[in-house]
Amino acid sequence: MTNKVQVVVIGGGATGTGILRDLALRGIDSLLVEQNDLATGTSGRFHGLLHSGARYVVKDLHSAEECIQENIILKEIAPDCIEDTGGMFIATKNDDLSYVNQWLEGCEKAGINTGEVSAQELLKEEPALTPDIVKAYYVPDAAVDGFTLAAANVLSANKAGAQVKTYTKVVGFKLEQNKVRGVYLQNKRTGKEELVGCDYVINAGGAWAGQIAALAGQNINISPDKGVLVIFNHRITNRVLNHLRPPGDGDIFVPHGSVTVFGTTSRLTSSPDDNEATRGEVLELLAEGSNLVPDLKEMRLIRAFAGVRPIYQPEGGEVGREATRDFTLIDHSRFTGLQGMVSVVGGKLTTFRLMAKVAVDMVAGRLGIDKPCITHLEKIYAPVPRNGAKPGEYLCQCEMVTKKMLDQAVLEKEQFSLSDVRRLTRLGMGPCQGTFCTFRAAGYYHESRGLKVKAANKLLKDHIEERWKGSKAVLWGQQAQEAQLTRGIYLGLLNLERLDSDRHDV
Amino acid sequence: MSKGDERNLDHCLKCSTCHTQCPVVANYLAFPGPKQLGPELERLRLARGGKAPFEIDEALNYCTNCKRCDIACPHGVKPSYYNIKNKAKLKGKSLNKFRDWILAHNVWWGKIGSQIPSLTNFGLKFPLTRLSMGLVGVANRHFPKYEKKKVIISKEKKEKKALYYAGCYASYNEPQIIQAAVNILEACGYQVELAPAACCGTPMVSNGLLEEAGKLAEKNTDIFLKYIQQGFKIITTCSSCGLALKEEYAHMLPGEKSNRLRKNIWDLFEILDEEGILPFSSSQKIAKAYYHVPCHLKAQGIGVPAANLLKAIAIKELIIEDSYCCGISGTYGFKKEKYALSMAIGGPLFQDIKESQVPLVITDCGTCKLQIEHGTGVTVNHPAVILENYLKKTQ
Repeated sequence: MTNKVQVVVIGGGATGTGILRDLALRGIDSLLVEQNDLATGTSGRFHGLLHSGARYVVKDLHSAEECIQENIILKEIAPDCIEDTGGMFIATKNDDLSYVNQWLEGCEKAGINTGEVSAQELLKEEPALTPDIVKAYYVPDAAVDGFTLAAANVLSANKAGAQVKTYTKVVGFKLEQNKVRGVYLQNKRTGKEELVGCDYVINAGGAWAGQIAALAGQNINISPDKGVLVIFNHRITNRVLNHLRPPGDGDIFVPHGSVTVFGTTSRLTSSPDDNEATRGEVLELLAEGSNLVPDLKEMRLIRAFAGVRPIYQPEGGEVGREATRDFTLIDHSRFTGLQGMVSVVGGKLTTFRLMAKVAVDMVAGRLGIDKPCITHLEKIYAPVPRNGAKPGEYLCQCEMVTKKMLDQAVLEKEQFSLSDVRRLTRLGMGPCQGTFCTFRAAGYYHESRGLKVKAANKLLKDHIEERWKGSKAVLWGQQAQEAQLTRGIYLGLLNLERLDSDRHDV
Repeated sequence: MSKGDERNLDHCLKCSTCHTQCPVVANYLAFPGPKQLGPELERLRLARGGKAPFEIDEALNYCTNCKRCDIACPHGVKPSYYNIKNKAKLKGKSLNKFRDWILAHNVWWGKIGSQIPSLTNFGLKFPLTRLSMGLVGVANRHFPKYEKKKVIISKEKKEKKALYYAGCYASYNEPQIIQAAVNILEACGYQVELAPAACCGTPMVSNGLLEEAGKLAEKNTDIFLKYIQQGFKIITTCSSCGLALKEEYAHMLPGEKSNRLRKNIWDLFEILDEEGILPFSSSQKIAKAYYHVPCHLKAQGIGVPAANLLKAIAIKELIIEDSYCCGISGTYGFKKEKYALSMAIGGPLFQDIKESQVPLVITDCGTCKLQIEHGTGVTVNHPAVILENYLKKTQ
């Protein structure tokens, strides 16, 4: 294996994988490194909303314009990753109607189509909504699957010759005469270290970008901003639902596959790894969301989670919701003279392709490559397509995941966890939260991949623990009962606590 | 459809108890079962905006609507609710649709057929009739005989009023059940009138004609409510009609009307049990009989009031068995492609009856009767017909 590439991309989120694809399509030899699996940072921990831009038109018009342009492009090139649900903004009788006019003006300026719909007509289509609607508009929002998007970017980049190393952490940079010459990597599973030489590094570490830059002695002021989200068991509305008011907590509902993702909050946090939601935060969200969906508190929650927005804060800038959602490309040579490294910070998933284009335009220019960006012209595809199957072929019935999908998800992987499989297939993302598919999947891989008993047991145990983590903040009503059933099966029937034994390995 | 019905998919814990109780699953492994077809797939159907059915939804045609899954669920999920709703959205083969439509309207054929029963019964046996039925997908099996009989009812006005709703089977195929029910009710001090209502709609619901069934339910509900206002209790002797009025109507027409209706619907033996009236004398008990609990009686959640009475009054040794579905499920067993499955589902029941060597089987449901007679050759009777013989002669 080569240990020299032209460009190393750090970060396997939407931006990093988008950059890798852009580089690869311009024929630039590149490697992406990601400390965990793809889209395990903020790209996998958000509401799954492909913005139309309408949320930002009043405060952040530029950002809104970028959103709508990218929204149109992504719907065209990534149909596997996007469900074009459409969206709606509703104002209730308690909202400030003067904001509605400002908002409409903003949408017009940004070029976002809005169609007004009467409360009566909308309620017929979306019966879960509050009857207190005063104004309602359709917008071209959509749902996007961050996991599939990152994987589809990588698939496209792989075909064009790019490489990816997941579960690989950057532990240092090789610097010579104030220029980046290479990156020291450590495989998190084996502990093995290696040096990969390169001409350029693009830091797309998102919320971790500051930590990465610090390894090269650079300072980026990222203010990690935690957003809590909850997942409901089924679709509450068929369109993305937004509260038509200045952006705040608990005003976005995204119908995402079979579930609804609802959020968010916005609180400064000390660490980008702070991704646990608390019960208090969940209850606050529910209280807020009940203004739009009156029966919300009676609906079954299956999970709560948090993501950390990588909000870039230039000296003296705003934080939290007041901060711009614009992205920034930092050319470190301009600040500290360090050659061979740029960082892409801020922004949001909807504009990842544009961020990638801007970053790669600069880096390609520096490398003397004048090929233009073509990422908006070629389609990307999910590595694990969802196809119909016969009854009995489903291994996870909640989300209709088949054995074939399980095979495809680990096709070129030497090592994997069930969470890796889950991100590509939705295994265990349904109401039972892995209760019935985890033991089946572990058993299936034991057979099909010849995993040792101990390794299969580890798959099982890790996945149950991971699913449990997200259930903890919503343990009441039906999900508390589900958790008891899970406990009965894994601690009772399967005696999970003693599953470490490998004495049955042959 | 009410919000409560729609949302009960949130209560499913995937425990699979319903799956273990499904008579179709037990005999046809390719059937996905109530858990998957019901609450599980419903989440994914919602994700499609509820529009296009999944390929796997075709399997809904194999649901017998026995409702054993509904009772099995420890959390009150009703898989049959989703099955019925989604079966109505299937397209299916046009010939089968035509056949299903014919079977769903048994009330019309009953009305016509019972006018000149001898001609109809002869016609049903006629080879050409059998052939053409076979061509549209009707199973080659015995059809119930059509019968017409004038019912004798006392004109005497009384304080206690009962509106007796006989249902299609008793009306067109076995009018002696009507006479027996009327006699029993009169012996209990009721002024009885026969309900001027048509079919309850169950065959339409089972055959995916949900819209038509809904209209019928609305019409019937209005008729019943008029009588209820005048102080009538609505009495049924057909398990499926009773269940439809108590449960199905509430799903089809959620609201005040169906709630008021369901509180006033009684199975004949349920009300005798409730009022504690025993107008019977127990002389010369039948030595031995077998009582088959129809699935739709079980689903009413009223226990087995007829069997309790039979045991106390008419039968020395009564085997009460609620473990089995007979497999007919109304019109299901009359469909060519389901006939063998229907008989397989009924197999354990037939065997149990044969092994218990009883000369008589008793059950409340008309089509259960047809299936059991077909599967065992043993005589089957309605409990009202049996108990009528034990009415006190002084009355």
